[in-house]
Amino acid sequence: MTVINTQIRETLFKEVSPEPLAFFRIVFGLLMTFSTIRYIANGWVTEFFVQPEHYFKYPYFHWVQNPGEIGIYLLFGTLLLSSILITIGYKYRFAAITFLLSFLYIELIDITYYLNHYYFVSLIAFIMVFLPAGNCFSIDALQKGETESIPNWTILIIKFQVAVVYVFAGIAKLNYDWLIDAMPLSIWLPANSHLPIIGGLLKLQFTAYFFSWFGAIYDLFIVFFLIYPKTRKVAYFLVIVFHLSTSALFNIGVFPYVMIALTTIFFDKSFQINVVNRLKKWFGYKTNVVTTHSYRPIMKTVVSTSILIFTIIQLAIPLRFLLYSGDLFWKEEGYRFSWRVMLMEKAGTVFFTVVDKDTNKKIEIVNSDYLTPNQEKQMSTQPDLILQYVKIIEEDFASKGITNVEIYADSFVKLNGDFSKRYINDKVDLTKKSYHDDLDTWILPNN
Amino acid sequence: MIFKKVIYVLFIAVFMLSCSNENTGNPKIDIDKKALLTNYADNLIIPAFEDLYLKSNTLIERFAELKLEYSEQRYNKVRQAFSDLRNSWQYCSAYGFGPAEDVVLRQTLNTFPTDTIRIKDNIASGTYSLVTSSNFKAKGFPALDYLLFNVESNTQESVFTDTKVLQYLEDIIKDIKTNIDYVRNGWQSYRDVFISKTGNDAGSSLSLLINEFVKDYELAKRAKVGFPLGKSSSDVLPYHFEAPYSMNSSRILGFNLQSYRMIITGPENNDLTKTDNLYEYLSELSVTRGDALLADVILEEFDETIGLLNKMDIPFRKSLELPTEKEKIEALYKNMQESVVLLKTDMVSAMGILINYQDNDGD
Repeated sequence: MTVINTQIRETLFKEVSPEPLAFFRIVFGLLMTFSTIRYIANGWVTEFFVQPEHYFKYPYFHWVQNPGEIGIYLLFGTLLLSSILITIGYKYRFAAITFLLSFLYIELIDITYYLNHYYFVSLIAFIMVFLPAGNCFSIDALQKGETESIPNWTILIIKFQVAVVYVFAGIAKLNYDWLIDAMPLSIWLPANSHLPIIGGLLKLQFTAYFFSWFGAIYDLFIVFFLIYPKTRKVAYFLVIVFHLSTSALFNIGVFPYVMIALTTIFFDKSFQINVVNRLKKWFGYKTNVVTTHSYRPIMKTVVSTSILIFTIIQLAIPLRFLLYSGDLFWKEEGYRFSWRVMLMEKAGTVFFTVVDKDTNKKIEIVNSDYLTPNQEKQMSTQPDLILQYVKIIEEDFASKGITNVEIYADSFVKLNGDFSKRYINDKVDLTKKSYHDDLDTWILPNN
Repeated sequence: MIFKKVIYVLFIAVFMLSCSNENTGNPKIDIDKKALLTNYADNLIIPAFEDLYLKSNTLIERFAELKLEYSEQRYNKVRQAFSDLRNSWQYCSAYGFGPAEDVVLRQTLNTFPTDTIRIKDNIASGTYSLVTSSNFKAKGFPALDYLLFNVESNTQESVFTDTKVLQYLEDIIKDIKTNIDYVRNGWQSYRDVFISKTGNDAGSSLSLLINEFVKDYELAKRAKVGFPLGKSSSDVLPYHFEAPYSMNSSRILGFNLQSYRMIITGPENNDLTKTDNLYEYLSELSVTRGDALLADVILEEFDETIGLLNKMDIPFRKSLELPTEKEKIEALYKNMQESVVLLKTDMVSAMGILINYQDNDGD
């Protein structure tokens, strides 16, 4: 044990060149600057955070409130500013913390817009807070002196995080629908048949199978090919091809570019050293070198224990679905935060009826009176959002003085290649159901 | 090298798998989206708006005659021209994108129930702006339905020689015409844009067509049947029907349903062997319920709804007072609700149509 322990410690705390981390910081900062500007320019701040009347909350984060139009734009302004600060490495630690908090706050306002890649950015931002990424080729370093080396764990943990995304995304693809029926790609690829040159290929069944299998194998193994020096070049070429083609075929925003940019962390350090040195020369950047800090033994224990805990959590969260019974795609228990990307084509329609128990009158709800089209779409297929929506309706009726109500749902969900099926038991009064109830008491089985 | 071997094995595995799986999934998706869009633009949408335009011209002419000199015959011709125009509208309501979106055509032409108090106020004051959205419920077809049909026969002449009433009618009719002209003319240049956007993303023509179709159908279910039936208020609201004064609501709903059916079948609505239509597209997707193709399930459901409607010979407004007739409307509503699920969930999802521009989860 102690031998392994010593070896692990040596690997974690080995001093390495700081350029790869500085390079990563700049790339991450630029990406975030660009994607924040894109988000604002697309009008999404207003559309997603100003126009809706109600918001779907994350479990345990019900207290996160929309700060209002001025507040939300201030948050995005903070996000943009801190992204720029991270890029140039000015007041780095402060910028990293500010970025993380404002990013998290925006994400937590409405679960409607949950995307795995936002979760990925949150995790990277969280890690960045603890990294000495501002001590090399940065404004901070100009003022305080440049570090000669950084501990190896600061690079390893980023590699680990990227590996988690790919490998779990790969494992998630090892299911019947994906591999045997080539679903949902059999739906999504032919929908792109209008594209020039490849359009004809996308109509073919073979193509859906090829993409499915290639995608699964790519996700499972790409990290290992990136780590292994001999295959690295080919592997990175595949990274570019893979993500650019998903970018062309699917409406997935900046995520492909994030992955293309951040997988450079696997490059041999000579690449980043070379790039950073050239940039330094180009900018005429010169600093004093300061001696590398050294960890006290107690700090080494704190750091390695923290890394261990973080690693375990990262492995446990995507696997938590094993604790739930039943169809993961249908009930979505343990679906989020698990790197399940592009795994299913799911859609639904749901009609709610409120029964006023005092008068026995039935009132059918018009969903668009409460929700935006985005929100309605997400709500229709996700049990936890359905219950939140029932609460919204219940409270709205209560505010009109109608307090004694029951709410029933007439709902249908379509998953992958199947026909739509009834989703919620229409005999169940949903006001009696809570997040903690067993889903089987109100969601019907998928068969 | 390991890497090359892995790729090689992968190719063979995938190839064998896809060969052995030929009878599942989509064996052939051969639809030519550009041809489909061209067919719909040239043979369905543009002719529908052209007909609407011609009918609006007729109404203008008939009204000018009535305004010139009242006669019962001229009055009846105005009513007829109006009914023809509104029937024609039923074949246009689903195409609320492109030029129609610019002028929010559906809201400007057909917001109901109409606000009779506001109409009376407008007529009395003579000062109003019909382009403001607050007057949407005091103009368009529903206002004409009220003004032309809610008249006792012994007061007809005095009403339709009253200059204030005539002025208001003229303004409403002109407003209708202005909007119809805009959309009809707009399609002359929009056509090429429409047939060129062949993708499946949020801005593509197929996405616009499908989304507006689904939206309009859901609205028809809700506003033309559900609201008057008391689905959102628990009391029946007879004057919430689309044409309560002319008592034409069920008849025009029939035209509306025919128009929806034609969006699936294409312009040659009785010949399902024709190509370049949604029926062909949906059939190729080979989504089935039991043995029936989604395309057929959708059509069957439409035909059932049309059948239910045909069995009702009493106007909707009167039916609400008769329990057995009201039940028939309830059944119709239920039927239309089932179609909403088929269209909004099964059809949209099977086609891989994107509804909004927001990013999806990427790989």
